[in-house]
Formats: sequence, C-alpha cells, structure tokens
Amino acid sequence: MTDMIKTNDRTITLEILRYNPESDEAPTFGTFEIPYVEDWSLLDALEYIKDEMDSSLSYRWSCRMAVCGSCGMVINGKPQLGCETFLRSYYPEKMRIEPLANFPIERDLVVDSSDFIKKLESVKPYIIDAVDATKAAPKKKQPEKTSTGVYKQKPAELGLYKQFSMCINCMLCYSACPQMGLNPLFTGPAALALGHRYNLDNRDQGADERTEVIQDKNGVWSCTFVGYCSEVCPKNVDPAAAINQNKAQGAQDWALSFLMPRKGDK
Amino acid sequence: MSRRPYVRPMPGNWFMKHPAYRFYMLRESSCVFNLLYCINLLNGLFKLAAGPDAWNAWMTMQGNPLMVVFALVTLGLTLIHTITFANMAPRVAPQQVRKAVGDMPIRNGLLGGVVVVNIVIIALAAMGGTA
Amino acid sequence: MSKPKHIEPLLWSLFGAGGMTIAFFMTGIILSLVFFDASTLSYERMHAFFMESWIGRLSIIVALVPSYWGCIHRVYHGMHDLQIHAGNGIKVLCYGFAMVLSIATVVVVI
Repeated sequence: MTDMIKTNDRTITLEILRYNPESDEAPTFGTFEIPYVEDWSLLDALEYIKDEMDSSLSYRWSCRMAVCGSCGMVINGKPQLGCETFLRSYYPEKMRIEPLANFPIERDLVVDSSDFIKKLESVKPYIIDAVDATKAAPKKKQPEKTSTGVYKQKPAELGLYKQFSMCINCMLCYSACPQMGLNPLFTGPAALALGHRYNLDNRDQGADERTEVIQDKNGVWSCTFVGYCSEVCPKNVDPAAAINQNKAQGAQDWALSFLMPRKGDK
Repeated sequence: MSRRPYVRPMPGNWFMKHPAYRFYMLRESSCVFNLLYCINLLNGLFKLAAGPDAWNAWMTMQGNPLMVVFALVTLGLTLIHTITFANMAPRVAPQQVRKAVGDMPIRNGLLGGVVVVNIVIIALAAMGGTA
Repeated sequence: MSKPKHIEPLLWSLFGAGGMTIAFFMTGIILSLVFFDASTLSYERMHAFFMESWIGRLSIIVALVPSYWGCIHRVYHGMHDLQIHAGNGIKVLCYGFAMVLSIATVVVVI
C-alpha cells in the first residue's frame, strides 16, 4: 500500500466533522489532504488518516463489506456506508463527512445509538410463538412442525417478509428521515420495518403485542412518506413501504373496531 | 473520559438542504394549491346555484390571466401529485397483494384509470361546444 | 387488534381517498376550465348536470369532499414539517374547516 502511495502524487481533500467531548463546545470541520488512491473506499481513507495523520480520529467500522452496518456516515449530504463509498466517485471534488444525522454525536463520527437499540427492542423483533403469546390466542393458522419441532415454511411464505428481514441496523434510514429529527420519539424506519417483518412471518403470533408500538402516534403515524429512508437503504429493505402498509392495516383495524367494538375488546 | 454527547438542532430550513427533501416539499405544496382550487370550485357551485348571471361572472373570472396562471401552477403540482401518488400506491398495498400482482401493474393500472377518467371529464365538458 | 387511541387512522384514510380523487378528477377539471368558456360550459348544461342529475351531483361530491380532507390533512402535517407546532385548537380548526367545506358542498348541490 505504501508503494502505491509513493508513486502517486494526486491528493483528495476530506472535510470531517470533528467533536471531542472533553475539549470542544461544538463540532467543527477538520480538513485532511490525503493521497488519492483509486481503489480506496472512504473507510480505507479514514484508516489512513488515523494511522498516518491524526490517531485521535474516531469512527466505527468492522466488516468492510456492507454486512455489519457499523460505518454509516453522512457523505456529501447523503447517508451512506463508508465501506462501499469510493474516493473515485468524488475525486477530484472534496468529500465532506459528517456523523449520521438525528443522533447525538459521541465523538467525531461516532454517534450514540442507544435510543435506536431501545426502539428496536420495543417492536419485539423475534418470533413470538403461540405458546409465548401472552395477550391473545393465536389468530393465524399455526404452520406445521417437523418431527424435530421446527416450523415448516414454504419459499412463498419466506418471500413475503424476506425483503424486510435484510436490515443490517446501519441506521442510515434514521439519518435520512426528517420526521426523526422533527420528532425524536418517532420509532423510526428500521425498527418499524423489522416489526413488520415478524408480523408477516407465518411462524409468528405476536402481531397483537407489537400493535401498541407500531400503531402509536409515535409509531407509523409519525411518518409522512418522505421516502428517502428507502432510497438510502443499502439492503433495499424499503422501510417506507413497511410503515405505510401498517398505516393501511391500522386504518382497516380502526374501521373494524369502530364497526364491531366487541371484536377489539380483550 | 467523560461522556458529553452533542445534539445537533434540526435546522429551520432542513427541507432546503437536500434534493430529496426539496422534492418532498414540492410534492406536499400541491395540497395548498389543490385546496385553494377546490374552494374556487365550491364557489363555482354556489354561483351555479345562484343563477345564470353569477355563473357567467364566475366563468369570466376563470379566464382572468391571474386565474389561468394559478390554474396552470395547480395543474403542474397536480401532475406531480398524481405521478408520485401512483408510484407510492403499490408500496402501501398489503404485502400479499404486492407479491401476487407486482408493483408495476398496480401503478400502471392506477395511472391508466386516471388518464381514462380525465379524458372522459374533458370530453364531457367539450360536448356543449358541438351540440 | 387494540382499541384505537387516536383518530389518525381515520384522517389518514380520508387523506388517501383525497389523494385518489385529486389524481382522478382535478387534471380534467382544471384543463376544462382553462380551455372552455361559458359558451361551452353553459349555465343551462352545467346546472342540469351538477344541480339536477343524480350522477352529476354525486360526481362533484365524490370529487370534492375527499379532496378537502386530503389537502387539509397534508396542510396540518405540513405545519409540523415547517416546525410550526400546532396545538389541538389548530387541529380542530383545520379539520373543522374540512367539515364546513364538505357540508357546504353537499348542501349546495342538493
């Protein structure tokens, strides 16, 4: 790698939003001029800065292959993964890198994601078996089990929710969503899409337990279908579709509970 | 080491900061124009109920250049609304339906219906000219 | 199915219906009023259709009433987007206005 850098005198400028909680009142941009290497991802560039220029630069990363969801950041205004964003897409223009929007900044490009984790947990993102479903008797038909006690699931049944199960919790959609910034209590795209994923799973009986969170004012009803969450999603989850399908479902349930109040009683 | 997370305020002009947000606001602004135009139509109904003179005066007002500009702006925004509405409609449909039918047939079916109904409206309106 | 805690689902349904009626009717209506004058859209013919025939009266009610609700719903949520934090008073005023327009439309054609 060093050989490549030596033979190359082209450079690219990176402006990175820096924040040190111990010394800074507010975040400010720091400028780094680094060697331009055609096959570097932004993550490679950040690694170069940390190794060679400023070891205090903080950012999250792990897999380098768009699977772990750690390196989400805002690059020239668009929430993206650092590992699948390449310098060559911007060179010779400069790149402006900020931490994910709508999250508190912990330090430099590292954000505080604890609120996101709480919201993820709130939609109960796991299969709730008929045995575990505490609030209601099973409404869906239970799928058949194999002799080893595993539910059978047909490809079409998997296909129904598969798109919504591809989420890597990178939080790009939270950064893309203006409603998230306008109402921080909003459960948000990824968490609601994940709740929808389990509601669509034929092995799951937990839809009733998720309703309170999903159908809350701060649930799907805080969304105005801006749609940018789905555009930035690196896994094509389409959280906007998941949320708005739940609005349609909620409207249908609302009408039913109005027409047949008894049915809504527990 | 002490934690002191920094919360960035939501800028008042956030919707000007990104093309996706600007387009969203353009799409949403159609509602203001459509609402005003609907009120104009309701006014027209009142004039129609009031008699021929009132109706003709209202029709003359529709030909006022300012009114035509307003109508054309409303028309442009209505088209943006119609196309974005059709693009979003299949994604709101139940996942079971989407999987069975596919997104494009739902979208194109809706747009096809919109075209047919609007042509019928214009044809009905034009009939008085030839009859 | 839990009991509804807010009427947002109802307002959203009306907004969806309004989005539909604007898409289906407004382009044709606007173009007609831009291109045709009172000689084509004569009082006699318009009155006979919108004030006397059932199909005409029903059509204009279907075209306008959901449109009011859809537009006003979006205006109300648009205020939130503009960081105008409207309280319940403004909310009642908005949807109350949609109700007034709806009643006026039904009354004038019947």
